[in-house]
Amino acid sequence: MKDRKKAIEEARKKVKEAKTERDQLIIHSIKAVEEMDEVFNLFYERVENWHSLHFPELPEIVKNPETYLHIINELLTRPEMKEEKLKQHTPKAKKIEKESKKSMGAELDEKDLKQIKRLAKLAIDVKNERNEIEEYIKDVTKEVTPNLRALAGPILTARLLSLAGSLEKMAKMPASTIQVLGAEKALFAHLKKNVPPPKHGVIFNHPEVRKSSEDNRGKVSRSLANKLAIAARLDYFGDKHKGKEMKKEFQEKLKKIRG
Amino acid sequence: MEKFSNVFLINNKLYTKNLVPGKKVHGEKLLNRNGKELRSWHPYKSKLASAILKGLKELPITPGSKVLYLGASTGTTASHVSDIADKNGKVVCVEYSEKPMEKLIPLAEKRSNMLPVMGDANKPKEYTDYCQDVNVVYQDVAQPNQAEILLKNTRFLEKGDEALLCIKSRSINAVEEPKKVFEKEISKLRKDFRIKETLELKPFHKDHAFIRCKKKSATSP
Ligand SMILES: C[S@@+](CC[C@H](N)C(=O)[O-])C[C@H]1O[C@@H](n2cnc3c(N)ncnc32)[C@H](O)[C@@H]1O
Repeated sequence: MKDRKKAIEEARKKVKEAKTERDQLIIHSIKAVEEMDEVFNLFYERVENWHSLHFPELPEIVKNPETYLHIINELLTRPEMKEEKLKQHTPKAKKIEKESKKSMGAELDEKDLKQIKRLAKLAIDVKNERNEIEEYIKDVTKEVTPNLRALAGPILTARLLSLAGSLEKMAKMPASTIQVLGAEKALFAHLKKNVPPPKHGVIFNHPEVRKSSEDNRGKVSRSLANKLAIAARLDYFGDKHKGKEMKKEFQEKLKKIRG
Repeated sequence: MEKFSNVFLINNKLYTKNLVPGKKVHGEKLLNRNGKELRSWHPYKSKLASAILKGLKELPITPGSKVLYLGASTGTTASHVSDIADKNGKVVCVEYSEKPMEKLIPLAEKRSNMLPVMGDANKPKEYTDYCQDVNVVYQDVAQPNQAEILLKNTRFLEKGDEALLCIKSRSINAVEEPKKVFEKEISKLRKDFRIKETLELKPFHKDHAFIRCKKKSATSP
């Protein structure tokens, strides 16, 4: 049947198209996550500076931004910060209560402080929504780019796609370009001035690259980039799920590099 | 016992004659009988298999049939339809979502009578080219407008050709009584079809009915 070949080819093409559209969902999602992180940091800094008029010692004790914001949101004023209530947020409850009593901060009334609470609440919401989108990224990458995901994890996969622009573009990139995706500035400096080329771009966030010694980092990055280039092609052509196999190969390569 | 051509009932279990000996599709059992390889066909996994076990009187899909299969999914049932239609038959498998399509394509590559089409059963124009010789329609799309979808696809049938339709009552209307839903859908089909058989697929598939119907007269496309 001569129609059959044509049908199979057409169906393959359509599956591929459908998938490449879905890669854009991943890219928008990761961009949203990055933007929400920025917004969260902005809000957090504002809340910290603002509330420090009232209780400047608190950020010194509670360093984790999320914990800090939860405390502000629920126990806004110094007199409210009792050990009993603080306990569920932090092991430093006792210390906070003690500091609150002898704080150098100004006495602000409820009305003044309420505005800060608003912003703290908003920052917490932004963080929660951001985490929801991250969960979604974990899900869609499983479906659209299973091979890349197996090698790089969902978030790094999304960052790479976002830097490349699309799965198609990434699939057509040589490994050497993938290796320095996200290091455009350093690459530019290398070309313009006389500094050594970057060893890695965003793939620095891969745990194996990160934990490599300074000497090995270049080799590990190159070997990871080689595998990622193959994974991107497999995902793009929608052929096989070789993720596990490739991860194993990568780990064997690592053993060799590290000797 | 050969229940229909290429469909066997052995110890209360259904089998079809394997078009591609040695190859399994969905983890089913393979069996050798009188020099033929048979593939077991599970009523819980396939509505057509359950309809046969529930007493379907006639099966319009026979060796040589040219079948348009709407809602093929990963091809579990479609593979058995392909077994029955055999070498001289043809099964055009329409599926609109890309995930099952990814599994359907390699299946079609192994089966010489199977054509995969990634398309929407609401838009028969998209796959008309592959359907010039179609003489049976099998539909299992689990969509709210399932009767309308079949009516849109009757253009491929001649007077006297038959269609098999699975109706899921839940997907049309979650609150209305399943019986009422079936009756409504059947009355819509009467526009183009004479209803030959209706079966309930309990206990294999809850709230599902199976309909065999015959095209009344030529419709304008
Ligand atoms: C219940 S499943 C079919 C199971 C399959 N017949 C079997 O027994 O192996 C329904 C399938 O129809 C597909 N579908 C739903 N609406 C469709 C449409 N308008 N066009 C094509 N396929 C559709 C769904 O994606 C799903 O895979």
